[in-house]
Amino acid sequence: MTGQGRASAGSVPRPTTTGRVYDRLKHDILTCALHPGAVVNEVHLSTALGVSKTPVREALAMLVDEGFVIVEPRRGYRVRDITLADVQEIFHLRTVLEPGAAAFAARRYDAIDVRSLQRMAAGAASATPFGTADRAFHTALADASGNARLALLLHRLLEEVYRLHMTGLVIAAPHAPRLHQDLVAAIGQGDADRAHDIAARQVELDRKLVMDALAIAMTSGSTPSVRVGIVPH
Amino acid sequence: VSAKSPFASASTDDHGAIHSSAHVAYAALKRDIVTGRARPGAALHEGELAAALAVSKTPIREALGRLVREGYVDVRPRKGYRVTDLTLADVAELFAIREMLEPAAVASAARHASPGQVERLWDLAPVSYDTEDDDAFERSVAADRRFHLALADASGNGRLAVALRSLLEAFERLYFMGPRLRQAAAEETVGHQALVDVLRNGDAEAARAVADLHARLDRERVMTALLAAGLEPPVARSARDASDTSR
Repeated sequence: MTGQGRASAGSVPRPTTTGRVYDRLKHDILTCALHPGAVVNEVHLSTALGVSKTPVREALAMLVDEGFVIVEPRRGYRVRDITLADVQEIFHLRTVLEPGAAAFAARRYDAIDVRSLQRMAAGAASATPFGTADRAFHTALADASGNARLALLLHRLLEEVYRLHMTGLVIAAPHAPRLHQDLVAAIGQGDADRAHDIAARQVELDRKLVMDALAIAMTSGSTPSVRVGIVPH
Repeated sequence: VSAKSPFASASTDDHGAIHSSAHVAYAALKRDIVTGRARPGAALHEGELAAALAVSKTPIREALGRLVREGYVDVRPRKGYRVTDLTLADVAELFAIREMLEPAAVASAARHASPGQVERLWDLAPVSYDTEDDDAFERSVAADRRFHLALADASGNGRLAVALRSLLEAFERLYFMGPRLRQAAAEETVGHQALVDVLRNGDAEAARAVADLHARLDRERVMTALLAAGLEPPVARSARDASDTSR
């Protein structure tokens, strides 16, 4: 497949092919084109994408590490389900991490592009909750923390929230007005405590929105992708 | 019982029956990196590793790929794989995250841990450190890890536990960076029992406060040790009491 690769072939994996397969699979999983619970077949995938099995296997391993794909002994790969317990875990962890990230961003406000954050906040505030614009804003916020590991943890959670949104979950209420912009304003002023508080409030409001929407969807049976799991709280 | 180190000695591996060879290679390599047998900046060659672990190159490549994603190894175009450096900035990042995750995990554990989990934590809490002997020290670090992992699991939040697990593994690299850090690691165990005690009472806020303090004290101790071990200029050393410098 990638036999065109020059002298380095053999010593370094081909991140381009694996990366391409990974991006494609990840996109399909997050948009639910590959729906929760879907079976993922190595052979079918390599045929469909016109690549050898190695990059497919590598890409799947990455998705397994990230928790989007699970391996079932003797049965192969499956896209991970979303349970109510998952949703609670995701929002709990966002509550733990996101306010801190916002506070870090405020402490290094002179090192970040506040204007760009402002634009994204405005975009997110007027867009669908948990949609692309919202995810872009929160992703940028995570990056603004200046802590790459922290940002990576948050990116993963935001991807999961996005996937939940893409299952067709209908969010009844709009976002709380101005919370995005207020958050950026606090960051721009270098007010870490305020940024922390607003971010905490925002995650809590988001959690409520999602849990309410899930409650409605589950009683009406309109979100078959989300299963009711064990509720730890 | 883990696989033999490809750095310590070449050997055929017969633990592979349970794990795939990629996993065995991954575990062995990671252990070498964490314990410092594979030093920061060291080059890693697929062929040599494959020979040392008596496996083909494919599982080695898979193992390296995973270590790259976890930040232990990096890949440079035309140069291959290299063990990553651990900078002071990395350590600060790790502590910042730990100070968020661990108090939250402990608070959750105070709410959700079953009596069985609390008892298990109590059993794992006493960790005695042997800083003199390499193998014994490694066992002490492993015992400490078991306590912290059990604590993470007791939170009842799988994602939180996974995040903490990878964080703790990254921390372990620090403890193998010289005698001062060994000492810092050894002092780290102070407070395990206190942690389990507040947890047992089910008081989430008290538990959070204890975990918070625990993490902060750790940060101070480790940062001090790191600065002393890494940033002590030779000039400052020679200016000290001459009888102390036997070089």
